[in-house]
Amino acid sequence: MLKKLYLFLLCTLLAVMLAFGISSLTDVDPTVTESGIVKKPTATAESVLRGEFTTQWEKYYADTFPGRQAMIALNRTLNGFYYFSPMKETMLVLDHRGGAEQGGERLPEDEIGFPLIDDSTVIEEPTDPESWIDTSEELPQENTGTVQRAGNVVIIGTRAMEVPYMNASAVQSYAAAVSRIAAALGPDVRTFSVITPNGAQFYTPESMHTGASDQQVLIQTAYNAMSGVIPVDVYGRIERHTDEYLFFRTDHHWTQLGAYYAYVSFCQAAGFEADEIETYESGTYDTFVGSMYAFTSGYSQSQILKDNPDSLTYYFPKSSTTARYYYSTALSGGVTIPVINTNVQSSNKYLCFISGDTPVCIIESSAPGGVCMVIKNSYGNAFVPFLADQYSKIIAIDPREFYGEGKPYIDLASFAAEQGVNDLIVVDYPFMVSNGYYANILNNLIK
Amino acid sequence: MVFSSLTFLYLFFPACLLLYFVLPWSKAKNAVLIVASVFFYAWGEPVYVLLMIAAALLNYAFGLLLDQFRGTKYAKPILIVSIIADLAALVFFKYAGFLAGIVNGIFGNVLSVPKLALPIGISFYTFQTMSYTIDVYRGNVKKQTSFWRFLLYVSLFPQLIAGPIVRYAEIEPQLEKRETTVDDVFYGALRFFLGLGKKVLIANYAGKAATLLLEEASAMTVAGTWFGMILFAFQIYFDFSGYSDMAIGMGRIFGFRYAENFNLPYTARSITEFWRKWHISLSTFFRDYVYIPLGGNRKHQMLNLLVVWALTGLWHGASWNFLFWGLYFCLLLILEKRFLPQIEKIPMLLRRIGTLVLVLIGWVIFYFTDLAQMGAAFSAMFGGAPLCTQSVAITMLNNLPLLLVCVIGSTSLPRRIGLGLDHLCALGSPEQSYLKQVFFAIGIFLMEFAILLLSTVSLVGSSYNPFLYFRF
Repeated sequence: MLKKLYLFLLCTLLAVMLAFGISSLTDVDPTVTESGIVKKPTATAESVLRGEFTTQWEKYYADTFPGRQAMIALNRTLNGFYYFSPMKETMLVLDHRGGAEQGGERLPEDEIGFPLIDDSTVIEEPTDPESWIDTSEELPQENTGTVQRAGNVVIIGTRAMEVPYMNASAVQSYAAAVSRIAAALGPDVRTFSVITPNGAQFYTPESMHTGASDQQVLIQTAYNAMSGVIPVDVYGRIERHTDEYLFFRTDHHWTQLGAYYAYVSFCQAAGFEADEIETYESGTYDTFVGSMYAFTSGYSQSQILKDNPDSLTYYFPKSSTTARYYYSTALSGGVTIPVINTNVQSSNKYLCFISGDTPVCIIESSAPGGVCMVIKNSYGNAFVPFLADQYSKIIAIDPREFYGEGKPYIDLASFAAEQGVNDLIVVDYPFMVSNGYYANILNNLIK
Repeated sequence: MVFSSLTFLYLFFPACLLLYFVLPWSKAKNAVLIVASVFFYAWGEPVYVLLMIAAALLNYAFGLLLDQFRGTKYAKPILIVSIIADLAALVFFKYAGFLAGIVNGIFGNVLSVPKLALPIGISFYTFQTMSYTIDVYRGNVKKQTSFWRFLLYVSLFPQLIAGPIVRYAEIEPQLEKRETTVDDVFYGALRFFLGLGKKVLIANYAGKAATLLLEEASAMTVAGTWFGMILFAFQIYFDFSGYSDMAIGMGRIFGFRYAENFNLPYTARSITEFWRKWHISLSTFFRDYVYIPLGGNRKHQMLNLLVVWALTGLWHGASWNFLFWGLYFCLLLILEKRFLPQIEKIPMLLRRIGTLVLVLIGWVIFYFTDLAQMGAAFSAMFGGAPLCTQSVAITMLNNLPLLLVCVIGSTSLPRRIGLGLDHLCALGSPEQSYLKQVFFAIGIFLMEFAILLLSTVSLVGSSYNPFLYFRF
């Protein structure tokens, strides 16, 4: 009799596993597949033999597993056990590879009308195959093909932050890459380096912003290692205003007020005069829950971020502007965008600045200045609009959009010469500076 | 494919079980297991599966030859050739880069360092095939006349990629004919799900926390490095013993009885006892096939120990730190033998703690393949770093419940509770006992179901990449 019970229980267990298995092959979570994020891998002889097909298929299978959304919600409860913190004080430390920046900030397809990366778009390649071959001196590249771990994500109280570690060789590589870009653009182009600290430097306990995590030391180390570059002292000015709303609590970026103080420092270094912030016309998104919430949303501690959202204030350039973004430096096609989008439908309101990360974004302004090029990650998006009052043309380039398989070709020096660039500004924050992978991305800009 | 993957849990394993138990003939059951095992291996190694089959074919042939020439002057040379052939593949794929690096270090860059992917499980199946040919040579087992049965022994997926190292003699009769009772399947399922829980619900989390604390040398602290190493010690135990549990459980379901591979090693009172409880199939393999043939305790024991422990270290990986790890334990074992009378006078609790600390130091050597990082970790552990930082303190706090589970899970308490409940079921009148056994069985079923559910939740949750979704 007991054996019958055993048999019944075992068969039940097997039936459950089988039922899930069969339904997992037929009942695919539509929210995942329809978004186009997850694609079913196609088997080719090469992908099968290299073992890539099975790896991709397992990933596809996990991404489309039945009841996935419910399981992710359950996992959050489970993580309440594995990532314990006392009831009264929310605290969490997580491994953070590469920086939230690697996730980027891009406007969803439905908000821009058509996909950013159109399969039919032809990637411009140089006509001379020789120019593909890098004949320059040996680059000070980090020997890394993948994003490196550059620090942690912490939640302390109602604020989530990225705490970077200084990777000395990566910082040297970054400085060398910026110097190399400056040299490639020649002495007629002024090159500025704008490295900003992030909120962790000011709002964490002391041990999280000292030693290997001291962003002031990290920034100064990078500046000291640069040549032919004008360093912009953003740190000092930001430090003097930390009682203001300079960094989001639920997002890894600075607010546009933080970017404004960097702009003031830049103006000082470049010989321009910056207007007072009060003189700008502004607007506000009252509720913004950003990337740090998304990153920690699998953990129960993230609830406090959701319950205490940020607000986002944007400032319009004083000059009249038109802006378009392009898929490559060939500047064919292009999509018109507002420099400040007052109607972002996505929950990610930070996309209001120059429509997020795009390969090339060109802003034409009525200001009487020259031409400036900005090499930036998403930290630069909030910074760029202010430049429209100093330059008649601003070309913002996201170097990540030109690095890797299938990405468009770029020769930054030639493109800058074509565009008559007077000033080059490289805007970054410590997670990028301390990641050797990003130095490789910068080096890729110069052929 | 790994056991702790959704593909294995919901597609491969149930399909394999269904086919296996639906087919009534033993030959068909073996065919199911062979096809499933080759498919299982090819899923991760679509090319090297041929290497595994070739190794099986070669050793099968050597087995026939050894049997044919047993007692003649040809037997020993055949055995030597078979061992060289087995080791050649292992050395080529696993140690070629390491050896080339040593040669280049001595003579300059005279060799190009080959970058070969290590075929999964090659260390395990090579030792299995070697145990077969050696045992045939010694006359301990009969030759296997069927290649398919021999392929089944080599490729059987429960033990193929992560052990235990199953000796041919252990399962020789079961390759041809075996019986599986409902009790076997019930017990096998219990072991499988316990192993799954150890791997997915403990080891994976301990590993994440250990990495967080140990990866960045510049951020190491005294407290964080000790805590990180303790978590790594638990990670490697629950990971490896979890896989062994799953292998033993699946083997039992299919009618194979594998020997235990772990026996609560962190309860050991000496290093000698630790190695009787840790990766038992490996240490007994080296004892029976290397240490004793070299002379064992009878002649040049120290040299024999040195060879065995150097090999034990290198078996775990082609890197200096693994060699040092093996030699570290060799030194400890020699010292332990030398000072045994004094050690036995130490109170039991202190001996346990001392053993754990020495094993933990061993794991530091094991963990860091980069010797500079290993030096930084040792320096941090013994005061060469800040005592603690806020970040480390929060990480430690975050992982306290996990640590508690790890500590309890590595003691004999869970086993005692299980045995106690089992004993309770047997007490009382037959009717009472029966009723208790029914509840016990249902309790086990619910526990298995909970482990499956929580493991699935964890596996699906860990595949979730918020930034992937955030970007679009």
